[in-house]
Amino acid sequence: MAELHFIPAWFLGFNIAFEMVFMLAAALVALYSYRIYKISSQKEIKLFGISFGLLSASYFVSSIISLFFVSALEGNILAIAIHRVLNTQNIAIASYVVLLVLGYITLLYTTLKVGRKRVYGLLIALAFTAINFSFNKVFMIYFVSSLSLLFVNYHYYMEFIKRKNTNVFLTFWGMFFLFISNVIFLVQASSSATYVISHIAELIGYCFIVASLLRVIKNGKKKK
Amino acid sequence: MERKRNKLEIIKDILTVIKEKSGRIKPTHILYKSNLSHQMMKEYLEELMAKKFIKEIELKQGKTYEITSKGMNYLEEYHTVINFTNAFGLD
Repeated sequence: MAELHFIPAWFLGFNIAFEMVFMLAAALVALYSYRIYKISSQKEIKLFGISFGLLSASYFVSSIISLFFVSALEGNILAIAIHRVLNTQNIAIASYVVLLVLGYITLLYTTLKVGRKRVYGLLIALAFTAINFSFNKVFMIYFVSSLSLLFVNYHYYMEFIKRKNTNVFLTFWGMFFLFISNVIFLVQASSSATYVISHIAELIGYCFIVASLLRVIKNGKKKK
Repeated sequence: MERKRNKLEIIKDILTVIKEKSGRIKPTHILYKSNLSHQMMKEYLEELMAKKFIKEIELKQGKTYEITSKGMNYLEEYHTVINFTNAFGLD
């Protein structure tokens, strides 16, 4: 048995609220992307929307896991455990991991701008092969997501250098905090404080991303 | 030196040229006004037709292109699309 997350007992409930906020923020980005895709018919915009749609679904599943499948460890520490048998809990965790990794890989593929389906297929195959055959699956999940977000961050940094635009600046910081929220698990996955810090970093990240989106929406209304 | 236009800008320029010619235009006019090579223009026109932004009409005098309501909507919402793609680095 392995633990996906260690959660301080006092944080249970807050984590579900955080995850619901992430779900709504990611869904907002996905829905607005879909609206822009309907106008422009650009594939990159559709993929960007799909990536946030997948992330939104992963947060939904994550909140379900936090609600039903948290078990008590010693002291005031709770855990989300991965069992060796096939049960509802493991199916939920597997769904969460698949949605999360697919979301980040789709985001990476969108920002790489290669436009070849085979590359997308290769990225997915490499990510899931690495996770499946890894001795430490939890570490590999966060390694894959962190590596994807590292490249996504590089893309947004270059975009900011090119445009010097407030919106892309906000998006860059948003993606940077999402990167921090993942990379922190690589450094200290076994600490329950990591889980709290990761959630806070992710919340800051989504605040930046939603701020960027709201500025776009506001600007669009002004133009009309 | 002039900045290179991106794909969304080129689409906007083509649609604007068609709109300004009362919504219908010959390909030679598009070529002249949109500042593209013949090959590039052909590829863009095919893409715009596939995405239903324009439609091709065969007349006795030859082919003409007409802007659709979807194409008009793209022009109306162009600034929102550009703001979104700039904000999220998607162009």
